[in-house]
Amino acid sequence: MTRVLASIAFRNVLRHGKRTLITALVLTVGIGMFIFFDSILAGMDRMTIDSMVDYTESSMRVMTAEYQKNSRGYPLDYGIDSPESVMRRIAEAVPEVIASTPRASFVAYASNRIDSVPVIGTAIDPARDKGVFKLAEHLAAGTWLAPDSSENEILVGKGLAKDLGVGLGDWLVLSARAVDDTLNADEFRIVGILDVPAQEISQSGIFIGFGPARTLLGENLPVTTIAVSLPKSATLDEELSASMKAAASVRSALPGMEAIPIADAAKDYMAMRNMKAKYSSLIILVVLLIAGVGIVNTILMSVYSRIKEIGVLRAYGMLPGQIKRLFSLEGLMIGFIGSLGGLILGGILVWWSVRWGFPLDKMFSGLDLGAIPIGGALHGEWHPSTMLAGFLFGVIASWISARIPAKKAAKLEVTDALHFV
Amino acid sequence: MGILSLSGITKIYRKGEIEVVALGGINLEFDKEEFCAIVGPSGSGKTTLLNIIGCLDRPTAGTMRYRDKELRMLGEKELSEYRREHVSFIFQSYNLIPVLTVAENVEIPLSIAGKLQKQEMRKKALEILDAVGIADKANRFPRELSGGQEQRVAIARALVKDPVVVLADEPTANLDSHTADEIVLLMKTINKSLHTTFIFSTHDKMIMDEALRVVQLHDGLVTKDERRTT
Repeated sequence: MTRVLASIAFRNVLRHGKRTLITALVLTVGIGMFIFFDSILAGMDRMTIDSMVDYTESSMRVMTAEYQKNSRGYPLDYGIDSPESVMRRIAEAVPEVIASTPRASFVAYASNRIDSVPVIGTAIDPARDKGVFKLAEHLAAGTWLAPDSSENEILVGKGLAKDLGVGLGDWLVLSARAVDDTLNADEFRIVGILDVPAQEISQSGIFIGFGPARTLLGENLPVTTIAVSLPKSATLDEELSASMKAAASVRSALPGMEAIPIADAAKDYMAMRNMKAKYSSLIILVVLLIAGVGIVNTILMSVYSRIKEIGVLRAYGMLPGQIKRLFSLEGLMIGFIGSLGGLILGGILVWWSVRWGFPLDKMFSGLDLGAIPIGGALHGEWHPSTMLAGFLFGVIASWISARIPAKKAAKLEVTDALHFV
Repeated sequence: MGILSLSGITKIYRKGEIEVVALGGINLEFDKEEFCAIVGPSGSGKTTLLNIIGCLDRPTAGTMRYRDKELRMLGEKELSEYRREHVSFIFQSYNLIPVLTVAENVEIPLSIAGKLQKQEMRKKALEILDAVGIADKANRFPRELSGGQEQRVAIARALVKDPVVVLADEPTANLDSHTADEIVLLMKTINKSLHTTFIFSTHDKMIMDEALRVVQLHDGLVTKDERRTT
């Protein structure tokens, strides 16, 4: 019997091709867009987290537990005793580590001799830092710091340079409290201007080598943080989970040290993102509601155009439940066609966004987007689970929608159906 | 005693406050292999009577027995079973399923009964299509057939499950006189060869003349019940 019902349902779906196509198209567009937007939203998340990893946080930061507790004030105490040994042990504990680099952050005042602004300074190892962060790839002007240079070279954020009215080759006076708590000042020549999609660097970031930093802040300036680079995974969730796993390995291999994975550093953002994900799931509900109304309408039209057929089937002994199954099957088939179309459309759009993406840097060049970390092209992400969920939701919602008119068809009196004009 | 007996069958339709008596107490008995015409003017109750015999509709009062089984007391499932196994229908406007081929339309009652395999159903459908003279149209769709051919398919569909009783509601009303004559002769041939009981309603005098029993209805009552010899 099921074979006959499926055969009648399938042929009716094909017979009313235009009607089927229009109904299925609503589902196709809705589910396709849901899959695409989910991918793009994931891409935006990825872009934000990548910006944090590439410019400010790295995949994981390792520091002493005391420094971690007091890190808000950028203290120069609580440094890492033997950073080289710690870096070696990190690489042993986490074999996936690509590179690591020492850093020391401090609070300073930058002055052009007329105005003075507070800045966050970072002492770096210019050669190693390039292996972990991508700052060197974002020089708006000038060059990267020379490795092992004893000269007072400095990199400044583009926004900061603009605020202070300084440019390449100009001198900045940095004043800061040194390790021994004395107030020191020194002059630094701007060798590079950083144009980075991270507001804190652009507006208040300066970078100097460890050599000049020790001249300014004291010879015993400690390494306060070791920034670690881990491989990038195909999806953000995988990447965050890999960073947490790596941090756990470091904590157990280096007692007394604290490892902050990017997953923790981005905790606030992720909380916001999860909230956003809840709202984005409303999109599919609205789409399915619209598609559901379309399917109810289509199946109702199908019922009304085939009332006599229902009468004949009932007259020959078909049960009301089987009539209901016949029309539910039609809805299910339309839902399957539409959802499959949505899966294909969504897949093509996601493929395009993963392969080519939106060149946001070109689209918004010249626009100041403030805190929005836009750099390079915005790429989507493959989310097979979302694609499958979209497809299944479409099919199930269609089947549920079709059951409403199908029930109506099953309730028809045989004589009324046979004499329906 | 016949295979079907109706006693005091009454059918009253209610439309708000108004009551319409479609059948006012019908007493009839049908034997096996009968070829019976139900005649009468429009509104006399012919279709209502056929619907009640076919268990498509329930009487308001009265009893109806089929082989000693009281049909009025049966539930929806048992009534569906009665329709599936024992009676078949031929409709005025053929009512073939347009998306199915001729052979598939004929197979429908067998599929609903669910007793035969696919190959057996197809074999039976082709045999019966051959008997009604349109085996060559087995793979055509209803839209490709003439009215007479469609009604032959409807007859084949009615006969394929070897029913005891075939109920036909004005089976020739949509056909020209020549085709109508052919269809009635076909029904009569099957009645003789397969021993199937035919009960059909008609307005057509020529078709009435072919019947071996004529039951005349007027205002829901039997006014004449005439049996003829061949």
